[in-house]
Amino acid sequence: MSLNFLHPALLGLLALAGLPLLVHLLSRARPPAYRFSNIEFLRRVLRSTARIRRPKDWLLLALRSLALFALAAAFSWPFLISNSASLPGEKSTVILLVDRTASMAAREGAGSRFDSACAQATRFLEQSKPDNANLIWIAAEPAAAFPEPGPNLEFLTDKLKQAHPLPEAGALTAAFDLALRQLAKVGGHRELIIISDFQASAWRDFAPSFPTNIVVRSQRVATSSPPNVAVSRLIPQPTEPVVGQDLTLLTRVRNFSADALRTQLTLDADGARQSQTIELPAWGEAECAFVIRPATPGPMAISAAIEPDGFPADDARHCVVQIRESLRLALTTAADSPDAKILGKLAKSLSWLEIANDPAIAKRPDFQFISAWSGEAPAELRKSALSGTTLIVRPAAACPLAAIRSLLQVPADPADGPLAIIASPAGWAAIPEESHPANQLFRSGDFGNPFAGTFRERLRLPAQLAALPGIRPIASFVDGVPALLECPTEGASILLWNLPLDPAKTDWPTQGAFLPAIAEIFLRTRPRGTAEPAYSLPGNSLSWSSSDPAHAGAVTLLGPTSEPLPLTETTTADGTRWHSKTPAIPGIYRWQFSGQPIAFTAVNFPDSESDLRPLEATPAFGKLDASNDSLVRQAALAQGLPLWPWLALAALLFLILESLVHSRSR
Amino acid sequence: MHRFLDPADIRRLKNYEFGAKAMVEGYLAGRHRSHQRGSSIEFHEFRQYAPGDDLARVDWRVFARNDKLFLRTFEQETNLECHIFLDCSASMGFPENSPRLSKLEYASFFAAALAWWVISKNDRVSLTLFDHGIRKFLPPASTRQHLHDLLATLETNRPGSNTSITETLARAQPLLKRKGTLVILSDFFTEPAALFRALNPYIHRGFRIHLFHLLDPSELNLDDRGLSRFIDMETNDQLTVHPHALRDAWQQELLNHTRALRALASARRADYALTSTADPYFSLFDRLRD
Repeated sequence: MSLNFLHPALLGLLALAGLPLLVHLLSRARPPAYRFSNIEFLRRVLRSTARIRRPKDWLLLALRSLALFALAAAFSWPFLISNSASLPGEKSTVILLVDRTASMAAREGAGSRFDSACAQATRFLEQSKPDNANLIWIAAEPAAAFPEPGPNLEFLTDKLKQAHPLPEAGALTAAFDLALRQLAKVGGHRELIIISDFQASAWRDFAPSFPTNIVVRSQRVATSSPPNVAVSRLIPQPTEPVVGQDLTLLTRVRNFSADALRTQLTLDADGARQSQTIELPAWGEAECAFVIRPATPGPMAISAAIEPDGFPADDARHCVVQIRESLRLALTTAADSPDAKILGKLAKSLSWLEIANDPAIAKRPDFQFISAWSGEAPAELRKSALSGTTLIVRPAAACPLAAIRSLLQVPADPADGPLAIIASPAGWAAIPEESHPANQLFRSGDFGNPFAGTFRERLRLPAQLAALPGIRPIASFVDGVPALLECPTEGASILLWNLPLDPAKTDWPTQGAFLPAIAEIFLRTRPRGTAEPAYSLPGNSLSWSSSDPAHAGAVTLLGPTSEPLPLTETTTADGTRWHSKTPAIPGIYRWQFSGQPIAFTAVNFPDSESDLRPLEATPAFGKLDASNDSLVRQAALAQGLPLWPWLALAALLFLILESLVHSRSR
Repeated sequence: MHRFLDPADIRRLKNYEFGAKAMVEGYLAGRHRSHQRGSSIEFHEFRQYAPGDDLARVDWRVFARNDKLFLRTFEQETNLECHIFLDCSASMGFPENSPRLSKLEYASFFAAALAWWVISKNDRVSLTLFDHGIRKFLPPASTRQHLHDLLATLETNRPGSNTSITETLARAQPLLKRKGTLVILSDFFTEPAALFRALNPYIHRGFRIHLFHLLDPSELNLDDRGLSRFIDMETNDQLTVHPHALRDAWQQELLNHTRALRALASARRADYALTSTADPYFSLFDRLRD
């Protein structure tokens, strides 16, 4: 900010300020002489009144000087102007980067942060009147009002008046890139004005770089952190349950306020409702679980919601759970092998298990039984487990123990040799490990020993394998040799199977506990899933595809409030694909065919927008113009703020004061 | 004809006389009563005899009636002896170059009239001119020649240097043989307490004291002359002030000063009068007559 004068030639008038002092000095220098009877007496009087009188003299002198100074300065027409203001004749271009993300909907005082941002942007445009301007919204998909900055400021102010915040997170980098690209194309004085709440969770680590010749100003519209409670997670376990299986829905609620709260959490699963009261500590979170048992296969839309609060956008969370009719078991063994025959019979007995003969389905089964594994490609197998398929591996006799260790990712032992099959006519008995969930059903003893029977052949696995970290034994032979081990991975488990299924080598399949034992092993070792199912973010376009030719031209999309939404339909190599034309908002969207829902899409509020705390200070972005002054004031300074009215007023005030002091002294 | 003795004043003063209270000691019996006990015809009081008293003064008639010794005392009638102290310091020359009388001229007029008046009553008058000390002393006398000398002294008198009234009073004490009326004409720019310390010996000797404080109207009001360079008439010190700004404080200070003089005078049974030189001096004769 600098001080300039419209009529600097008149600055010489400032010398007038010294006139009273000159008069004062001259008048004191040659006063007329007056012979008086007693000066000492007069001096005594002078001393007694000096404390009162002298300041008055000096005050009068100062007031007169100040009045003349202010008057003279007013004539020189001074004005304050920002150092970053455009030069006379230089074209100015301003791009307003206004935050439109979900957190801007937070109310502070009478209006929302977004209202305040739009009002400030409008006032700035009206005050600064740039030659060209543009408005870019910070949103999930940043958009500009004009393809390039234009002179139509009224259009921009209309846009600002009609806009409202969107329930989505902002793509900051994309928005800044768009703004800088537009500014790079223009010359003259260029300004980038950022108006945002500068939500800490979104802006803390954002550090854009700007060309040096662009003036960057930022204006924070958030002054406080409104209290907010959000449903932050909704995780189904398992992620794809089968019909009749218990589905646990873990719901996490976060409290973004400094006060402990109590709220009601309600779960809506296809119209069935459950509620729980939860206590939330200050700045903390609480988790609660709902258990439902789906009765029909197909997609199930589930929503969890709390009581509405001051920031309702994140009060609900949604997910779509695919209820499976059956689990798929792929067999990597000869179709006529004893293992395949036994497992085939098993699948026929369990309604929820099917042997995946279809190669397409077999590419991603729930279980894969690998019989007589030779130890090849353990890494590939592990990758398959990580991708979510539970592997049941029965090594062959020639399989090296190192390959098994590699598959299970346990430390290698130099003493390990190749496996060998040991047979015994008397056989061995297997004992379940009670602590394993697969044996939980049999813990009471009502269903007998899940591994009842005699096993007359087995692999020579080292007993210490079961004791290694990361390995959970399910069953062991009486002499300690592992019978069945589970090695959980981040995806699904790997089961090391050392139990023969061939009736010639065991009578276990003929035992009554065989069927429930296998069923429990399958159900308890399938991946449970700790992540939320996929969902869409607000602001994006929704899409769905189908390979069924009957669906073409007959699919509709209903929004969260069951309103039909416009779609665009495209034909692809795999079938037909539909896109919603309007940006999504949080809620459950239903894709319908012939009036019946065929798919759901969950759209969830972005987590990052729930924490409404702004940055402690307005970010400067490494530029100097991030001042605390309001944008309007900055705009006024950029135009030049005339000071003459203030100086004239000051001169008048000084003269009034002078006359008051003078009259009192008389 | 003398400068400071106006025939109109003489005509007016002919009717003036010192009042009953003007009891001073003189060497001629007759006109004025004295508290000095002695032989005269006016009875004063009875007093119980004390050893050492003159037995001739015992009233034997009272002794015969009461069997107690009482002395009969009489008031002694004496002539008036008036001592005029005239301040001739430079400050008394104020105002200079003015149509008004200076304080010294005013005081000289009053002194001349007073001397004529005292002598006309066959009383004695002395004159002491002083500034920082005694410049001229005319011993008490009541002759026409003495009056002539006194008036001539006043006519040739000019304002002198700085004032020291206390010094003057101390030095004049041995010159005044008999107690009488002490009339001091001055502008009294001096410390009241110091003045009365110097007067104490006179008061103890029984002098009747009149302090006539003479000030010019310009001194009383401190006329607004605009910013002026004030030059002290006694010391030539200079002070540039705006009288207007000091006027209230000056008047207040003057009031305090005169109050102090009046209070001390009252405490010591002396007479004090503040007179503007713009007023006729006959009011001062009234004070002497009372």
